[in-house]
Formats: sequence, structure tokens, C-alpha cells
Amino acid sequence: MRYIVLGLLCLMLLISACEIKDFALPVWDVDLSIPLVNEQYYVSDLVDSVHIFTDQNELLQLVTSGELHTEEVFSVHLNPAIELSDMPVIAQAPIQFSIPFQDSENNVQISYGKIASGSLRYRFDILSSEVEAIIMQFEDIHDPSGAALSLEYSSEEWVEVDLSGYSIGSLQSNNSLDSLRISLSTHTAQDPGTMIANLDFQMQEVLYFEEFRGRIDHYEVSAADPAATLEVEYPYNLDQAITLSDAFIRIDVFNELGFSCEFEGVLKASSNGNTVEVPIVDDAGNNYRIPPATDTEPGTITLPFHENISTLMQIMPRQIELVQAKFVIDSASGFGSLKADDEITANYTIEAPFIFSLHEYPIEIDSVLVISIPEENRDRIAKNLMQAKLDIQVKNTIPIGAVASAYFSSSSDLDPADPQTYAFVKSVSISSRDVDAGWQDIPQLELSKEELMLFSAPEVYLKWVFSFQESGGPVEIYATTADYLAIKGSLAATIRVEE
Amino acid sequence: MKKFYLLCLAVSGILLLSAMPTAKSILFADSYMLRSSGVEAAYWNPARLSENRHTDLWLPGLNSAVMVSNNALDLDTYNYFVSCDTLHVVDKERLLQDVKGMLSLASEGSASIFGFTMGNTALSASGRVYVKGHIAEDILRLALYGNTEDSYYFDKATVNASAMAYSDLSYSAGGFDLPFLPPSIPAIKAGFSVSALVGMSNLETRKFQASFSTDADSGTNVQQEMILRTSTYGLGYKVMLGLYSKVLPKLETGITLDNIAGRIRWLGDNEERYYHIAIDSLYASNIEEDFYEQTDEIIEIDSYSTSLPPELRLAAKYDLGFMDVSADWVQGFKESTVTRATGRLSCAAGFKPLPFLPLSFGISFPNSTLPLKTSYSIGISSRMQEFAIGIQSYNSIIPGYKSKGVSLATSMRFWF
Repeated sequence: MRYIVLGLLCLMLLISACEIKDFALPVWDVDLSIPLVNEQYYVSDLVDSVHIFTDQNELLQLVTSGELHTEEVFSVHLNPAIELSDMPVIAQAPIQFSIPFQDSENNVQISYGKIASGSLRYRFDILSSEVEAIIMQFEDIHDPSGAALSLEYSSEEWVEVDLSGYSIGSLQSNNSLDSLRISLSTHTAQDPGTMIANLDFQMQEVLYFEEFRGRIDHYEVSAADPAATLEVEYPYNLDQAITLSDAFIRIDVFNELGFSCEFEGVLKASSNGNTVEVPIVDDAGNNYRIPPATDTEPGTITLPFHENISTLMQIMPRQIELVQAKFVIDSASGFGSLKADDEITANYTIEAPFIFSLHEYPIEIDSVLVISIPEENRDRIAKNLMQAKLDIQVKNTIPIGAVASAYFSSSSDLDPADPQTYAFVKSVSISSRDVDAGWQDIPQLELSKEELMLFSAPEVYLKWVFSFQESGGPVEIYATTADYLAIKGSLAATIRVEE
Repeated sequence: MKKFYLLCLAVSGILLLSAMPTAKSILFADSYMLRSSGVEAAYWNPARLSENRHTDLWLPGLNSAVMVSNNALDLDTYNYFVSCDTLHVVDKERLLQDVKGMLSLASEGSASIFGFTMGNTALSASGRVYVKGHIAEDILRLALYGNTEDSYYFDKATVNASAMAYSDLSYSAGGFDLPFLPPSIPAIKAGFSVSALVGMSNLETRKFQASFSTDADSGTNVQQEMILRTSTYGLGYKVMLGLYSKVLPKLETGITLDNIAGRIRWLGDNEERYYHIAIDSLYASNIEEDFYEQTDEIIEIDSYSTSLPPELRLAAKYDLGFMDVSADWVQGFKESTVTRATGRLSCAAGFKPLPFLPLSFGISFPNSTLPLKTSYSIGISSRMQEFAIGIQSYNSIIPGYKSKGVSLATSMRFWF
């Protein structure tokens, strides 16, 4: 018995002799699900309060603004064209008389003016040797100190008086100055009533005023031409893919002149050889009238343009100019005032609501993205990454649908039009909310092993091409919290694990 | 030898620790209480100290055992795993089929330092090392399949690591007849042992919680919190009481209660290591350098105790003449590093086909937490010494390709 048991034990020990293989780690594949993105991109994020705003209904608006102003220094002139010859001067008898003071061009009527430039000249032809003095005083012309202009006989030669800095008329008067009052007095030993001299007086040089009060029948103040230029840039040829349906231009004019004036101008839009000109007139076709400034505030007016501007914007202009802009003071302006440094300024604002029609036109992003892949990762991709795919869902609450295509290449000469220049292309289509307002399943974007091998290159080039889905009519883009594009998804990759 | 280490690596893992008081008990699958005598009786039943009337001697290192095991992978699976070029789904499932919730790994070692008996007393010392850990099945599935589920949760029950090393210095006395017994009752001998324990290293997982989820709605979220408690030095004690009786000429019985008041107080370099990692709603598109929060803290803590819960052992042995058979039942009162709350039965047979050739076979039956263990040993003995080696197989009757663990033990005693 004991030998049988011994034999059995030995047999069991022999049976239990085992081969233990050398350790070697096999390879295997694991599927990793990596959350990639979960974002909501709100339309309202586009609002930068610089170029993009929202209106009271939160409709998105592209807003561009600028400023124009008159460059000309105002200089109203008056040509009195006064000439008196051989006017007798009588001894001992103070003479007071008036001479007409009117614009020979019949354009302005002055009640007060501060002369910027101008002159008068006079000469006394003395008939008696006993004349001691002759004084001629202009009651309506004052020197800078406010004293009436007083001219005194000194010789028989012509005397020229520079009137720069002198003023004519009364600042307090609202009546036109039609004549100049002159007072003539003499000192002589001659008997009273004796004609002692002849007076020649000329005021034929044009008077220019740095300050003017009165009436002006016609005075034009031009702005530069063009008065304003707005360059519109459309990235990625976006103008080919959309047509704006609506636009507003608002011009806020600030008039520092004491005259009301008429605003004339033309908006000129240009795009690829097309030009559209829209005169700046009111609905009745009349030029807008700018009210005068008060003593404390400039005259303001807001000029809205809508209906006719739409046609201008619909050509998707690359340049909008304000041309032939000028301000006209006319008889309708009435009594007013101006100074040389007065100016008329205007702030213009172009508002283009995001109401447009979409066209199926590929928008090619000019730049090519370069994805640099470190050598370590290149090796891992080549060896370990077996397959990758994106599980993406998109929720689009915007009435825009689009197709986005990503072109991948190992060459920087990537041309989506030439299949020879790229390795593969992946496209996703996102429907507008009018087609699908819920979560849209994007068909799996799968990269095969062969496609993944592209990423074993040091650099991979990527170019995006977008194409809107034809809207068939105007769509409106609002910036409420309900307007967004949400995207969520994971990257599912099959990774090979090896030693 | 290299293959042995590879085997250790391949199948290393844990089963919960069963008490391994002495190396020689491995030879009998722990059905050893009534086979112990001399110094070994100090660890199994001090009442049997007087059964060997000679002076027994333990020499350093000659009574040693080492065990490595796991609950899921056998040698066959290991060989298959390392032979595969590529793991396919069927191969992965083969690896996971026996994991059943978690992969448990364990390793134990014990070695004698010295021991001797003088009459019915003994003084001995030995050293022990326990290492164990769990890894949740889901972690293995993550490694093999990837994150196929949306979320994962792990806690201390399924992810855990612990280790403890200590040595004991035991004084035992036994063989005392219980007084006042009626003549009709067979003599009952009693004994006790008192052990001073010197802790040398301790590692405990105090807290482990981890959650990991990935989905497109909430991104990648990770929360992991782990607290490990470590110490390098401790002191403790325990007491064992034992009774033994030869109730019939060929039938012996015994009972012990071990780990009475047992505990180790850890005193040196006590630290709690706190690790916390958090990732919140991470998407690949918005990864930044600081996409995670990490906190690593080491806090010095006061001394703490590791209790050694009491453990009851019942045993019987019958002499069949050409062999003896024994059965031991061990029942811990509480789950701990060194005790199991689930009872376990082990049986063994020993015989000598030749007077100098002791052989043994033991079997420890599986329970809900521990696998089947079988032991085989062979030795050589003379009038003054005995030497034996043994091997124990886990989860397989015969040590071989189906074994999920193995223990090796040597025993050498001298007496004069």
C-alpha cells in the first residue's frame, strides 16, 4: 500500500511539471471615447459693439460709422463798390450824410460784420489854404476798440485805410445795414458856407468777413469730394454667398452756422464694376434742410435713408462714397450769422440688418492651417492609432444651413479644386433650423487607417471650404439667447496597445 | 529560478490571507494543529509543548515559506496570454472570465529566526510579511477594451492595497493537565503563549474612491481620492490559549484561541498620504495645461493600532496506523489582514512509506473568499532531525497549469 501511494505521489509530481513561457506582452486594441467638444456658440457673441450691434428687436446689425466735416473756412464777402468823387466840403458846417452800402452782387445784406480783409481810400482836394483840419467819421465802422472810424485830412494824396479787424454795423442789430453814416467836420478860417475842399472816397475792394450777421442769398460750402469713403471688406468672398436685403443709412448733421442750409450729396456704391448712385433727398425728392445753430447749440438733424439705400446695398458694395456733398445757404435761410471757424459736421452710420439671402457658393478660407505633429506623436499615430471617428451632434437654431468641408493634405499646395493636391476631404452638412430644429446627428466622420497615416507626416495642411445652403429668400439673424449653434461630440479612437 | 519569478509575476495576487503560523503547516494545507510539537506548538497549540520530550531547535531561515497567488489567472492562462501576438475579444474574455469583480493579488512570506524548547516551555522568534491588493475588474476592462461604459466607480472594496511586516518573540508554556477533571474524562492539557510583536512596516488603504465618466454632454470627469496610512515601526502583543486531549488511543483533539488581545501599536514615522485628482468637464477641444487639480499631501499622524482579531481553531487527528489523518477548522471573529471571518476546513494525511521518508497531502476546502488549496510534501527524517519541503497549489488539486497560486515551504528541525 505504501509503495502504491508513493508511486502515485511521484506520478502526480511528474504530471505537475509545467512549462512556464517567457513573458511577452501581446498587442491589443482598445476603444477610447474622448469627449471632444460641448459648446454653444451664440449669435450674440458676434456683437462686438464696434461693428456689430443689435437693434431693439435684437436683430443683428452690421454697423459702420464715420464722420465728415466741411473743410472750407467760411468767408462771406461783400462788394460795396462805393465811389464818391468831388464831393464838396463846406467850411464851418458839420455835415452828416449817408452813402449807400450794399453788395454790388446783391448777394448779402449785412447787419454786422467783422472784417477779415478789406480797405477804403480817400483823398481831399483842398481849395483853400486856410484849411486847418477836416475830419470824416464813420458812425457804422468801428475799430477793434469800438471807436468809430475817424479819417483826418493830412495831405492831398490818396490815403488807404486797411479795414482788417474793423467791424461794420451793430452786433445788436437785426436790421440790414443799407448805408454808411458819415459825419464831416472842418476847422478853417474861411467863412462858413465856403467850399474849402473836394472829397474823393472809394470803397471798391471786396470786404471779407470773419464774422457775419445778416442775410445771404446764396452761399455754398463744399465738403471734400468724396466727403467720406467706406471700404467694405467681405472675407472669403462672402459677398458672393449672400445678398443683403435691407440697409439703413443715418446721417446726423451738426450745423454750427447761424444759418439754416440745404444739404446736397450723393451716395455712390461700387462693386466689381457696378456702380449705383443714390441722391441724398427726402421722400419727396427734396434736399434735406439743416436748421441753424442757436446761441448755445448747433443745429441738428437726422437724415434717415432706407428704401433707396437697399438697392445700393444689394450689389454688396465694396466701396461706398459720399460724393458731391455741399451745404448751401440761400434766401430761405433768412437772417443769420456765421464765423469763419464755424463748420458743419455729420456723423453717418450705415446699418445693415442681418437680413439676407444665402446662395450656394463655396467660401474658401484663404489661409491653410498647418498642423505640426511632433515626431513622438507621429510614431504613435503610425503604430498605435488604428481608427478614429467623430460622433458629433449639432443643434442649429439659426435659419442658416451650411456644408463645411475640410481638405487635408501633406502638401501646402492645397487646392480644393484639384483632387491631386489633397489626400482626402471630410464634409459635414448642418441643416438650418427651418429644416431641423433639434439635435442633428452628423454622420460619423470616420478616418481609416490609411487616412490616419497622413498624420504621420511632420506637417498636415488643412483648408476649410464652406457653402451656405440656398435660403430661397431673406433670412433674419437675431441675437437672442435662443439663437445659437450647439455642437457636442466625442472622438472614438481605436488605439493599439503594445510594449 | 527565472521561471519561478515569472510565475510569481504572472499569478501573483491576492487571496485573503490565511494565517500561516509556521512554514511546515504549508505542507499539510494548514491542517497542522495536532501535528505540531516542540517550538511549532508555540504557534499552533501550546498545550502540545510537552508532546516532544526532546529539546527542539529552530535555526534561522530553515523554516521558511513563501506564497504568491491570485484569484483569476492560472498558469495556463498566463502561457496563453504571453503566447498571443494579438489579443482578440475571445482572448480578453478568457483573461477576465474568473476575475469576478476584482483581481486579487497576494503574497506572503515567513521565516524562522530562532526557537528552542526547554521542557514544557519554548522561546521562539519568527518574521512575517503580508502583501495584498485588489484591482477592480472594471480597471482591467478599461485596460483591455477602453472606456466602453459611460461611467465607472471604484471604492476601497475593489481597489485596495495593504502590507504589513512584523516579527514575534514568543514565550510558550504548556502540557499542564487541567485539574479537577472527573476520572471518566480523558486528560486535557493546557498551554499558552505570549508573543511580543515588533512591527517593521505597515501600509493600509484608509480610503479609496474614484469615479470616471465620459460623455459628450458633461465631458470627462474624474474624481479620485486616496488616503494611505504608513508606518515603519510598531510594538504589539498577542496571547494564545490552547487545550489538547487524546480522547481515544488513536484520536486526538485540540482547540486554540489565538490573537487574544492582539494588536500592534504603530509608533514610528506614522504618516497619512493624501492623493486627490479632479478633472471637471474636460473636452479635448479645451485642454489647457492646468486641466486637472492634483493634491498630494503627507501628514504626520499620531500612533495608531492594527488589531489582530481573535481566531478559533478546532482540530482532530486520527491514527490509522499506516497514516494519520487530521481535520482543522479555523474561524476568525473578524475580517482583518491576518484573519478571515469565514470559517474554513482543511484536512491532511501523513505517512511514511519508508521510515525515513515522511510524505503528506493536505487539502483546504474553498469557501466564499478563499480557493481550494492542496499541499504535497516530502521529507527525510532521522532520530534527531527532520527536513521537509512542500508545495501548495491554489485552485487546482495538482500543482500545474490550472494553479492560480503556489506556496513553497521548507522545514528543518533538530531535537536532542
